[in-house]
Amino acid sequence: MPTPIVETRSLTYRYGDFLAVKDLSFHIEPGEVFGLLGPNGAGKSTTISMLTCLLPPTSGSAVIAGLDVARSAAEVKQLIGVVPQDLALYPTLSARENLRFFGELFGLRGKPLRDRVESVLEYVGMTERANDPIKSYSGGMKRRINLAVGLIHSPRVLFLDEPTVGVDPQSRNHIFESVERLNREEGMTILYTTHYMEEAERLCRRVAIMDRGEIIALNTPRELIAMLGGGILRIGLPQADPAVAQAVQALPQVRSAAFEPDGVSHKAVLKVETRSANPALLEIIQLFNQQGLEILSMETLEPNLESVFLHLTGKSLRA
Amino acid sequence: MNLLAILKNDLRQLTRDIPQLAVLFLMPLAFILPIGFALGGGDGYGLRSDNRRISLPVVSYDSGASAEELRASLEESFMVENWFTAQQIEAAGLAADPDCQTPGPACFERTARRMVGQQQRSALIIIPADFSQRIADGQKTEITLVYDPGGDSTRLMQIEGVLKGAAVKLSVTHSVNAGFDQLQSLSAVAPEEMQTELEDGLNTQPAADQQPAIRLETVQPANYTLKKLPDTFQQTIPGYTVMYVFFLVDYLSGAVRDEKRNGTFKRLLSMPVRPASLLGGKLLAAFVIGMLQVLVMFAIGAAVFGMNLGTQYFALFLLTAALVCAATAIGLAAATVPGLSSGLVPMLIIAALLGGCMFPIDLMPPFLRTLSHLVPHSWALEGFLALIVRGQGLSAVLPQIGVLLAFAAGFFFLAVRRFDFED
Ligand SMILES: Nc1ncnc2c1ncn2[C@@H]1O[C@H](COP(=O)(O)OP(=O)(O)OP(=O)(O)O)[C@@H](O)[C@H]1O
Ligand SMILES: [Mg+2]
Repeated sequence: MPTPIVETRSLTYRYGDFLAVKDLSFHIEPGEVFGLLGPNGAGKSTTISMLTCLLPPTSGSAVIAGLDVARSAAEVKQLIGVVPQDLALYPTLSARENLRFFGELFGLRGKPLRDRVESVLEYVGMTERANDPIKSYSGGMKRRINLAVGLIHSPRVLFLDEPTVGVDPQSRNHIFESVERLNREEGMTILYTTHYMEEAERLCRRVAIMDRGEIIALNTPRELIAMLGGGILRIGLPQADPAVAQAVQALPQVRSAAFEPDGVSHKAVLKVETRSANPALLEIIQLFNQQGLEILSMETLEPNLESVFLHLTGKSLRA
Repeated sequence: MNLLAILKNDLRQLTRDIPQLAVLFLMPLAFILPIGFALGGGDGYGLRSDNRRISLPVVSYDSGASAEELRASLEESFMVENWFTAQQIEAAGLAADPDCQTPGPACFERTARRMVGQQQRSALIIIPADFSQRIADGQKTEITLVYDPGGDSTRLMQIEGVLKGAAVKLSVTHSVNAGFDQLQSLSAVAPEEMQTELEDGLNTQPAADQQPAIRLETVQPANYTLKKLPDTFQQTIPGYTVMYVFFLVDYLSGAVRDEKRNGTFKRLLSMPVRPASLLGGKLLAAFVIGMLQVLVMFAIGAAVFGMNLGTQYFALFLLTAALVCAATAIGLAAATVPGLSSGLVPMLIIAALLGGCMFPIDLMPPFLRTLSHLVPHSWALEGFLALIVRGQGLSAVLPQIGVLLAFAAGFFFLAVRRFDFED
């Protein structure tokens, strides 16, 4: 295993009494796209803030390219690029002016600066509108420039905090492609946070699933999904009868069965985790037929990170 | 240099913010220009085209070169009349007057006097017969300005100002000592190059003659005295300049607020920028803007209205710098007070009023006069008046500079202690 380029040991952050990040330990290998997947408030942004020298860890440590983020902040800042979750641009200035300014802060001047500005504009596909003020852009275009600023000094590690929030499909694709190209062509290491599991599945080699400040699973998307085995069934029933849940749970192909807390539809939904979806389905239908129970609806969830999250936490990623 | 990059970035953003630019640079002009034009530029410089509509009879009993020169300089500013038509003489009721039986300066003078009396002209100017001769001989001479004391006083001030200027110019071109006294009041109306010329004249002929070579005699009916030409600009321009320099407080706290709202502060902190450079760059930008404000206001005052800035440029620079430092530091402090933004402008206006920027402090009741020392405006204004109007030097304004710097240091200290780059 190569030396990790990012490594955290028991990284912890406390806002006053509130423990936002608990005891986080993970590493990212050079050239890896690493995903942090988690619902709102999971602590993703707080983790990134510590890794990018914006928040001093309450305890624990983080090392980037051998440099401690707390002790060698100045050196770390030269190596990393940050694309914050909220846009951070000067709205009255053009994309070029924004990029030039941020580039200057990394010590770029003259022709190298100009070349770099043009190349990142090209990277995010914004060369044509580059002289218009940011405030005249669509949300997606702003996001693309937000990304471009993070790339201006060719960082070794790029931190992307939910870069696709509120983005139209076209800009979203642009961002995906930029991330893939950066990783493939420049070997850039990328930490990517999101609550869209399909993004994590598409882009990330490994994904850490975070909830309430903790990593609850960390693996490749494929392995995480394999954890689920046969996928999940959601069965709509006239009422939530615990006896039914017990009976289903007892079936050989069923791992667990429980009624979902459901406040919206006033329907009882039985969530069934299976060892294998099709045989389990047959067993369940057989059981219901025998007992003369009514099934109102039936849904099979394809095995993906979303269902992994549901499995791990009992709640949906985007509640 | 990150500091310079940040300075440049802030200035560039200001150029895109038309409302803010208008507040900082156009608003003070909006106050100064109408007041300035209403009172007229002392010597008519820059206002010539406007004044040409004013008819000014010039009665000359002298046909010499200097009389012509004087007439020519007056023509630059006014519609000079050299004679009246028969109809005008008749209309003045002087057709049968003995003086008017033969056309000549005597009839012209009588008609013009009559017209001034009937409020058809603001004033008339009389050049005596030996005028050119006496100037050539280096002797004293005089010009008479006859005017209607009940007439339009601003117009009169213009005429008197132009006449003074023209007379002194004439004295100078003929190497006659214009006299120190004359120079003092002329400084209010003369453009800079003329002043230097005058000072040179003074230096080469050190105070040999304390009387001006050309004396202006103003003639008016009894019981009326025209006040000495008040140098409106010397009071109005510094007042509004100080007032609007303090609008930097609104600019700077707004710029900090924007930077927080845009999320750019946070982003900058994840870049290799020291927080001190970040703040320093913003403060420097505000400082540069403030210095520019004063420069623009004073330059316009001097160029358009012939406002005299005195000779204490270095002291003026130091005082201005201290003023701008105070405004900048207060701006930074204001940025640390959440929710202040909407209350800021009314506060700035009240402080300006209290500081005497819009009304002279002397007109205020004593307790307000005491209170006015609590706002930095009063100190800055007092300093400017000392340098510009009273012609005092650096040592006279050291207390004001000191107080302004104390304001700057105090607020800066407060601001730095409270400053937070987030929210
Ligand atoms: N400045 C703060 N003061 C107090 N609590 C905070 C602060 N910032 C964040 N928190 C809390 O810390 C927790 C983690 O927040 P964080 O922003 O890291 O979550 P996140 O995973 O990035 O969420 P999201 O997907 O919504 O961006 C949340 O419960 C949040 O309310
Ligand atoms: Mg976040």
